[in-house]
Amino acid sequence: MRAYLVRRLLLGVLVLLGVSVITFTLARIVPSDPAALWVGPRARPDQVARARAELGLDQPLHVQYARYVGKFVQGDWGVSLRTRRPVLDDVKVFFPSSLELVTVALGLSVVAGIPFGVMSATRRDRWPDHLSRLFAISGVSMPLFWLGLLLQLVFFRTLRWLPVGGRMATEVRLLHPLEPVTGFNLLDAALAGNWPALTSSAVHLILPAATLAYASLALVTRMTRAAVLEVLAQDFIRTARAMGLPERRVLYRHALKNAVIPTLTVVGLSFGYLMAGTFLVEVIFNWPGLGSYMVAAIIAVDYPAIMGVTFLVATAYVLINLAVDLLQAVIDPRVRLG
Amino acid sequence: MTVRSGSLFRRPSLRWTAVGLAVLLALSLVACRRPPQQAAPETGTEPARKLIATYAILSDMTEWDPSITFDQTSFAMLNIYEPLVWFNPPGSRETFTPALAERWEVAPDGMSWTFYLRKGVKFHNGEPFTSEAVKLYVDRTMELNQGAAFIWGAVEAVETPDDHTVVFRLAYPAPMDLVVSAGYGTYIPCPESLKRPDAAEWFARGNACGTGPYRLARWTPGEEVVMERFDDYWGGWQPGQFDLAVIKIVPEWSTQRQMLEAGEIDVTRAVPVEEMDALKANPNLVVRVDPGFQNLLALYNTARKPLDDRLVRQALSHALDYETIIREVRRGLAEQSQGPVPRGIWGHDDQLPMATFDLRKASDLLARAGYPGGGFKLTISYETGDEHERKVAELWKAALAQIGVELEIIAQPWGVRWDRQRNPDTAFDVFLFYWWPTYITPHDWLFSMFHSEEDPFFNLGYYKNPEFDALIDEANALTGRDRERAAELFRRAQAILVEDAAAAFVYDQSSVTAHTRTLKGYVDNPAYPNTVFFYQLRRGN
Amino acid sequence: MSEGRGALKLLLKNRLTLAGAAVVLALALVALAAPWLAPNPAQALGRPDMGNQFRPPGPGNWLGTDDLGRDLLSRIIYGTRISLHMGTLVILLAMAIGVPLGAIAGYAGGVADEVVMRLTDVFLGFPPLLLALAVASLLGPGLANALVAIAITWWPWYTRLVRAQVLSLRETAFVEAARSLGAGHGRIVFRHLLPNSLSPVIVQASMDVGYAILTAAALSFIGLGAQPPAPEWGLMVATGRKYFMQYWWYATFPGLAVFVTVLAFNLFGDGLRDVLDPRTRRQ
Repeated sequence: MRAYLVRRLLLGVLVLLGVSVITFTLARIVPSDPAALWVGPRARPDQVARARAELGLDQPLHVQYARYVGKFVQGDWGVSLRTRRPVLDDVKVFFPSSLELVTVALGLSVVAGIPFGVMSATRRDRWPDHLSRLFAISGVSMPLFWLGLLLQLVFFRTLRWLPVGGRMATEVRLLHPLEPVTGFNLLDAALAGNWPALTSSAVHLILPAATLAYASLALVTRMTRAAVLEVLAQDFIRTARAMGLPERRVLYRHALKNAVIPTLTVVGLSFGYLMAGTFLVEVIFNWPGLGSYMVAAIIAVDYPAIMGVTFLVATAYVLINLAVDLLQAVIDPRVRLG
Repeated sequence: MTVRSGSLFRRPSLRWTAVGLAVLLALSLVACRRPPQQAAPETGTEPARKLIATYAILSDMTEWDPSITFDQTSFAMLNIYEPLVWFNPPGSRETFTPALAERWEVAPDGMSWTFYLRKGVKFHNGEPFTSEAVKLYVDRTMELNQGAAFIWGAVEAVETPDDHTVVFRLAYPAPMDLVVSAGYGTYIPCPESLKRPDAAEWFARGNACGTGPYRLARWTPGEEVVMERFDDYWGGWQPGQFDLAVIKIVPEWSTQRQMLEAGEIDVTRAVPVEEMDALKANPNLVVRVDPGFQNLLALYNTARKPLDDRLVRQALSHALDYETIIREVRRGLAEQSQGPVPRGIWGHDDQLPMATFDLRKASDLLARAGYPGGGFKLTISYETGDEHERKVAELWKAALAQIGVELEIIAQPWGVRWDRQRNPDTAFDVFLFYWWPTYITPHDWLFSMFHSEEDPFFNLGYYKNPEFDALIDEANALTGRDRERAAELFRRAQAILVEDAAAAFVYDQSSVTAHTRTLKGYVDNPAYPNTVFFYQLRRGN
Repeated sequence: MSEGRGALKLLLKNRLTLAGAAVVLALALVALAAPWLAPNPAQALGRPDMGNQFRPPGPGNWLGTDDLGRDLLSRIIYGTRISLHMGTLVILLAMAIGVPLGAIAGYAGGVADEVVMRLTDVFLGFPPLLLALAVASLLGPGLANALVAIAITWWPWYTRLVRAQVLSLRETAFVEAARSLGAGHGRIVFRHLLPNSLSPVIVQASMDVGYAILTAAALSFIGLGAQPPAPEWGLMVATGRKYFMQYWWYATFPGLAVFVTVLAFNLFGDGLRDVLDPRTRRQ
């Protein structure tokens, strides 16, 4: 177990080092002048030259990389060329709001996806299965940026039921300000007993979370189905059935229990999927999160921000994958570590 | 139903009652968060209700240092800080309005300017406004040499003979009345903030201390800037003026529009021309069109074949369908440019000829230049996300295709475009480019984009003409003393550029503002682009 | 042989899979016949028709017109070409990188295997869209760069697939036979191992086209892919979005085209997987 853990952690570090090398190399071969972006569109030549020196852009590439990594591990992620603030500060502001969105979306897709998956496995090849399959495949085929637009058109423009975007209504934020504790508006509002902020946050979450959940719902449904099917085909289920145990009991006591692990895996994997999916969804819904920040950085070729966010999301992805694997090993001793 | 009773669709009367009741709480919280170095507001005199005005903008604040700010952050700064002098909007009787300076004079040789400062002005921290503040600020700005610091380039020394007099000693005659009224690099902060050892970090964290009518209460990155009224403002306060001025960051126009129609914001300047008519039809909104000082140019790469040939450049200028662009792309909210300096700027020449859309003429010009039937390919660069530039480029491409010239359109962000254009090897053939003034002089356009440069900076068409250079150099030196004569020389310089087709002069654009009908007193001033002066506004019916 | 026929039968029985295959085929035909199908090819390729902007769907312009007065139907039809082109090229490029690496790793083993596999770990350590976004933004806009960016995120899957195949084939009798006849490493890999491990790769590739099209559209949506006036679907959604609340059709139809195309590929691919993966096969 310990050897496995060490190996996995080392691998994680390797992955993250690789990530940093790739993004850094790409960032420096871009035909963009970071110094020009730094000083803004009306700078004078001497200002650009000075900025280049200040940003260390006059150093050889490997020196720049070593310096970048050295500072990075000390918490200095560089300064965004666009917002002109430390990338880490920006990330601290925007990450919780993305995390809130992703968590709610993931919750939605798990709550809906697991029953769908079980249903479609037990009614295999009958219409509920076909329907769930079509639904699931349409989920992974859906351009989320387009789905978000359609939802806005229906629920905002036509029905006038839900707000078009943002995280909370302006007035509510001005009149019922929230002190960020967890950074999750829903939690903060509930903890503070701030009812208007709570309802406003919830209402603003519905469309983006539903959009985002749609894709991972498909994933969760299909993986649950596959897991249940696989378990159902295994010997101990056959034995249970042969022993004449009632089908309900077989399904819920034995099959579902054994299908938890693969489903857990997919929840973990969906998380990474959602972290990436949230980029476009946030843009559509004007959600003040990491995704909107990243897309703005991408458009401006703000490479410290691009690198910082990429690294952060990759780290989260690696850690979650690791956590899922370890959890599997703990729950199911049959999972081989090695 | 919970949604319907939420904030979004509440009727205005209900909303304002709610605002009145709840704002006390909001303000007390704002007050609690105020940094300790700022005085707490007097308590016990809270009016029954406070008025809030909200202005939506597309992108966040970037730079809070008053010596450095050189972009859209200025529209918050100009409510918090003040310059010595304001430049008046076009059509005003006077060119200037005194602000922190009451009057000023220039020495006969143009080499020194004296500004007499207003008395009884207080900074947000309670410090009195004196000549020391001006000197500290201008010296620091020149020393930092970032942002718009170059506007002070002529200043050799800032002298303070007494508390309320400032003298600028110059190295060459510069128009200091125009300089001190610039939209950037002119915001005077309190001496205490500049004397802090950590001044730069203090500003960068989003702090401010000026003399303006509003003080910075809170900045939430990516969301909003909240400013509250400064009770000791020298201009005084009238009933109906706003207690809270909010700048909301809403990066999408479609969202801004919904918020405007729902009454969640009061003003926006991001109105796409396509949606003007729809907004005008809404009885709760006012849509205004004002002249702007910004124009769109297409700089030709005059250093490279085939655009090094004036005839080819002229041909390109005749392949641009100005009328359609103004009617369909700008929906009438622009005029075809008459030379590089837009209308409304002194020194503009209303006698200059303008290119017409004439493909036959363009084709003839190509033939005369040795390219019968075209047969060459050009690249054009525009800014990612700029719909107007994109449409101009697409229309141009379609027209040029008819005379045998292929135009390849490339969208990139500013940093990339600029970097490529300054390198002769990677430069594009045509570079779409807006210009707007730092301070109001034709020299700003002519020098920046067309004066020859060793290393191209904003002369992104590599234009080189010694006769032109000499004219504008001389005109600029005269600007401080003899503006009439300077304007005359600037007009001659513009005629050279037009004759030479140094660029396609596409359009001078109008600016569009949409605000709620209950907002009164809005005045647009193109010298301070996109700035909403909250102090001028009132809430009415 | 009998297994192959069984699979075909299974495939035909599944209506969703069949529908997917039919749509894919139809899209390919549309792409080929675009100049004849599109009501206005000149506008499809970019010629503006000013004065005719934002016509709602109706006779003459069945899907309406865009912000420069161009017929949306024509542009969407031409967009099929770009999307299918991108989808196939991305997968081909990913295979060109991934397959040889997988073969080397599987055949050579040892250090080479370790290096290649850790490399795939690094690339799969990113959420897929994120890496494509980062690479595309740093390479700059353009379809070619978007193509490279997506392929860079996708090749490791082929490496892993081929490596697994090669590993299972390496010790089989016919490879042993070839080796004993004195065949060199190159000959064994390219004449014997690769041809025999390609069929699952090809199946996988046909399923991945949908993913590639979707990602390309997402990149174009952000402005990192196609450049105007190309009739690329993602770019059209992005432009249409600016006018969306007033002119709903502009963003709706190109987005629908992306959805239908990707859905068709995925339905087809999903059916194929069911057929080819014996574990989930009907007993």
